[in-house]
Amino acid sequence: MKLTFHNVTFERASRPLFSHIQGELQAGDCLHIQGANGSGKSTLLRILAGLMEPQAGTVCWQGHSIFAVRASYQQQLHYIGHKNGIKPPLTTYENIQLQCALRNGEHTPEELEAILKQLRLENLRDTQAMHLSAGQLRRLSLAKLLLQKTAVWILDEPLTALDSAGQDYLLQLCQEHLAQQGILIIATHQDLALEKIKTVHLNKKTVPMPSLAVKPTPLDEPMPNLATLSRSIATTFYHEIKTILRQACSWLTPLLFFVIVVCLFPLALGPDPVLLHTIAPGILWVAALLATIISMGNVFRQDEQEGYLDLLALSPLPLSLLILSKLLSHWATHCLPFILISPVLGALLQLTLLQELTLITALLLGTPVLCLLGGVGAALLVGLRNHGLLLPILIMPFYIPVLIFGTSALLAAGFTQPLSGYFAIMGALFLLSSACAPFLTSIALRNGVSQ
Amino acid sequence: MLHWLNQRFLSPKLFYETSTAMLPWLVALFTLTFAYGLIDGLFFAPADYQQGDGFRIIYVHVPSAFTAMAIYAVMACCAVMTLVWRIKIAAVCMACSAPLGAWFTLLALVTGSIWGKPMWGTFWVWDARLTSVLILLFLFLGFLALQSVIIEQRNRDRATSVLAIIGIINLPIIHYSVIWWNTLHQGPTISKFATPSIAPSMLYPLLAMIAAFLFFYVFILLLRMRNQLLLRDSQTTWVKEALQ
Amino acid sequence: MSILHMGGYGAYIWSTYGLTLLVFGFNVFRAWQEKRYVRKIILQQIKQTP
Repeated sequence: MKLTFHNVTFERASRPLFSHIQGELQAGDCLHIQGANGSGKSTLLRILAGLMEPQAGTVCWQGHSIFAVRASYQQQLHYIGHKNGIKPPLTTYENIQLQCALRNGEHTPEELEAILKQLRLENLRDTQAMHLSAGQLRRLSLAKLLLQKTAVWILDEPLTALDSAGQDYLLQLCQEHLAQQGILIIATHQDLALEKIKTVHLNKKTVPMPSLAVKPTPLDEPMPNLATLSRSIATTFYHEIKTILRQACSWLTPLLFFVIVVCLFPLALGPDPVLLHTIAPGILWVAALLATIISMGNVFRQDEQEGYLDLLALSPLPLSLLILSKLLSHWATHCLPFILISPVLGALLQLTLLQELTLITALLLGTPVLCLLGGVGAALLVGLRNHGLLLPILIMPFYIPVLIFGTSALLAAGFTQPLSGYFAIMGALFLLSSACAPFLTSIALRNGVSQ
Repeated sequence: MLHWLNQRFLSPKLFYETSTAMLPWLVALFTLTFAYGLIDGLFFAPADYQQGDGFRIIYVHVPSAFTAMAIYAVMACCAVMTLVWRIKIAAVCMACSAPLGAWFTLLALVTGSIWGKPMWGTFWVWDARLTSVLILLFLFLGFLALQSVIIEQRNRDRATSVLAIIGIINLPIIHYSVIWWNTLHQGPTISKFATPSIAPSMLYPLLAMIAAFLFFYVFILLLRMRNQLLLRDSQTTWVKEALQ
Repeated sequence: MSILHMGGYGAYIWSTYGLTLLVFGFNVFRAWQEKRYVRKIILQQIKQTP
């Protein structure tokens, strides 16, 4: 079992952070990365984990580049970064359930409770993570180490915020991991009382050992077990819904926004029923577009802040499926409410009954497309501060086909013309976007995570 | 042929040298085609039966629109090359083409609406073609906005590539839905902006102008790409030599 | 004068052609400006790192 890295170089703003780092780690090896603040320890660890790409050089697992065998490597890797990768609105126990699902693992509730006890968090089982202290959150982030045995551990300053009991516990875990022939890569300021074999000082740019050319050994690809996969994805979906629902402000606001925008138009244009009946399709659809795109701005925000996106990028589960589950949960909580209330507003705008039914169907078909496209846009903007209205500017031109066919369907319903063609086209748009958008979103997310 | 292209264009240094050789030719070709198209189009092509001399605006409007769409197609190809094969030149080409695309789209819109005034009596008509060009302008501006916000160069290349790819997938869909929307709301009457069947004496200057605009695009593109490559590789030796 | 008049469409035609030339000229100017800026920056960098 070998993890080798050769000639790794990374620059930031055209200045080399570190260059020509190389090494070879075998089972039972520990690599301690030291250096002053800003010397690039976290960057090097992220490169070794596969979250970032080096400017030059390669990282190889069993002789294969880690990008070529991404699924196998990530199955064997645990990465703990600066951030904890938890969801604040979920309880401690739910967070551990989510971590288990993300690792595609199967654990009975008793096993999860036992892990809680080991982490001394059993009394905080049903406390929401937002109420935990920094040290308790750090211990929670260690849960994944206990959930699954993997070959490689990459830990970035894991001892921060931990009290001395916690630190001793973690070092004990590390020792057991090494004894079980695992590979440990750790960055910390403190001296470790472990059997250090190799050290890298990033400031001194020492080259610890020559790396030997490794012949690629055949890797067994992780067997996709459909039952476990679907259960894991379903669990993540369920937890995402719970996360969103517990933050009432985030999902009720699109609903209110929709209502207010629709009500602005009669105020602006006058209450003439004939006029309102004519322009109602446009008003309702434009309001739906605006409400959706504004809610899409927040879809990845909390995950990015908590480091949860790193976990998504490193999960053995296919990233496209994780993204689909996340966007579906976003749609269900942010768009479905205003879809359900739209007939009421339609009545305010003098829609006929057939138009009301068409409205609900068209919105049900069209808003998922809006969410999928918005998801790509939101992923493109991960890591950027204060981008304000950039997401609407980028994505709203792509909403135009949905807008055109959605409003035309409503107009046709007003004249009792056949509607099947419109629904067919909107269905086709939905299929096309659900095929393309998750893939593009995963590229954009990996790009965003590597910043 | 592919190998020759690979050799010539994929390394920044070779690209710089090759483009240095190409630039004079581009200027010559542009001057020839532009002069011919301009003179023939403005003075020698016979006046149109319906529109009189006003149709001569076609010689700047159609090339602008054509070049704008060609630029987007080039950007989309470069986006695929950037994401799939990590070709740095493709990323630079895409980044430099974007402002040019925006300019040509804007020019097409403005010339189109100036043409509209004498033809339809109004500066703007929501017909399918002009609306599609307007949306194309939004796509270019969105691309430029995203480009300006991301600081790290590699992330910027990849993110803008993804945006370009979404755009190229959506562009036919948007175009056809706008055409359809237009027929829906205007009814079955033929759009007043019907393209007449065009006589050869009118066609040749048009083709020449299209070629001229494309030569101009490539010329400015190469100039800007050279500048960007010098900046990106500013620490390497070939840049230092090239500037001495 | 008939050249300027262009059968009554003179204003429209010449304004469009004029705008086209403006856009062309502006882009050439920007490319040239960028080239000067890049040269300046890189030559400074070369002087700074011997």
